[in-house]
Amino acid sequence: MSPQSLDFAEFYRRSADECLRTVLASVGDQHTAQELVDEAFARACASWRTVGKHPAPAAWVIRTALNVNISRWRRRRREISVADPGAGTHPPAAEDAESAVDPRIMAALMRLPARQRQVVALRLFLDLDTARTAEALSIAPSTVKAHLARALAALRDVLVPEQHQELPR
Amino acid sequence: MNDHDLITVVRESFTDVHSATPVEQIVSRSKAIRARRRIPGAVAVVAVAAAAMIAVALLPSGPATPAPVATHTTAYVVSHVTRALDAMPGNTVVFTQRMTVPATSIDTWTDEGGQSRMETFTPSGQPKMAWEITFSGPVTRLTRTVTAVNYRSKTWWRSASFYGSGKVPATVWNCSNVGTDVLNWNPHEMAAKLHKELSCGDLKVVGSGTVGGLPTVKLSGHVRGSGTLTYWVNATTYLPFRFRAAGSAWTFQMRLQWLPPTAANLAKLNVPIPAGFTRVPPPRNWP
Repeated sequence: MSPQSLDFAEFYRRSADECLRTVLASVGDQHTAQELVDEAFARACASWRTVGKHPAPAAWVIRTALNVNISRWRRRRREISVADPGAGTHPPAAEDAESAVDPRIMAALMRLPARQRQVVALRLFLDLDTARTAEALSIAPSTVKAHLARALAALRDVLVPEQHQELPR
Repeated sequence: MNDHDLITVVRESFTDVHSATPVEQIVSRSKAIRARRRIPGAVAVVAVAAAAMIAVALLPSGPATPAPVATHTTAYVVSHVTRALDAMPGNTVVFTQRMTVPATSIDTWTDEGGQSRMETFTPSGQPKMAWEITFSGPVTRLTRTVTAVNYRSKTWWRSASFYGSGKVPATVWNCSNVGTDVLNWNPHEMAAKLHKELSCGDLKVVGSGTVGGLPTVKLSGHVRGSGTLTYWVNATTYLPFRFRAAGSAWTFQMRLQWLPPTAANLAKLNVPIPAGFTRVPPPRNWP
């Protein structure tokens, strides 16, 4: 491996799990998340001279993975499998028996709008601050704050029993 | 529970999630990506060489006569094809008849708005299923309605669901999906697809002649990740009338017709429910 590859290998070793968790929290399906993250890391590796200098290369990977997902989604909703026109639907990830994540939490995440999920995922797993999250998702910092507040409120409603919820201040 | 505790609970629920892909596999995949990026430059060299020597091969399909069509460079033909496609009204009804391997026959009628009808047939030509997809409502709140008719069980169902806001987006072509069998053809997407195929592979003019009495130009080439793609183009209108994709795992060929948006042609986008068929609920896992 070249020094450049070693550098990438180190980045991959440190970031692969976190990136996978972030994308999983966004898309809800571990198999899909793994595919997307693999593709994004491969693209990062192919452009490592540039991506390696990015201030937050993991955010670059996440953004690429989410963009790949959007491209696939756009393509697939206009395609129907030639072999089986009725195919193409999958059970929600929350019902996936093989999921390594508490299905109650995954279901709560999947109930959030996509953008809120992405904000939560970037803040939770990559520890990105508001500015970096905004940059990664190409949205305004104020929008990040609003999405995060709404997402946490929604998660609290679902995950925290009513008697344990704090009174609004 | 405060925000910090809530975040900790959610974060900890993901601690058992680990990437299963070794870094060597990622690096190997990245090499393929880099190789793909180098292709356009190589294609340009090949295309210039090909244009310089255009040895006109006769079309192998259909009765062919020796070179009645002027030969042109790939750039000239593609430019005319995309111009012809782009000049067509957006609501042109595109009719395709495709054969796939293993033998399945599918007819589709589509328009640019995303409305489509698809019918599948058994190898003996008997209809199996018909599907109709329509979009309705304001652009801020589109509803997609799917109607399916099962000719074997003599049943049909319909399902309407919120689709999203904004126009039904065009397919975004990239080097890994240009060879896919997209059922919703429309002129502008096909023009974009051709351009992408040129940049992702070595598609070029490989011959001219006549097919079924039509002066024809044939474009063919290998597109990375998609196998060999071939277009037969009407050399008078520059509209493709036949397309074939031959990948390692599948092959399909289709005939294309570009139908003006007359009332009769637009009616072909609808699936009639045959008399006596029973309505049933949509499949349980239908979204």
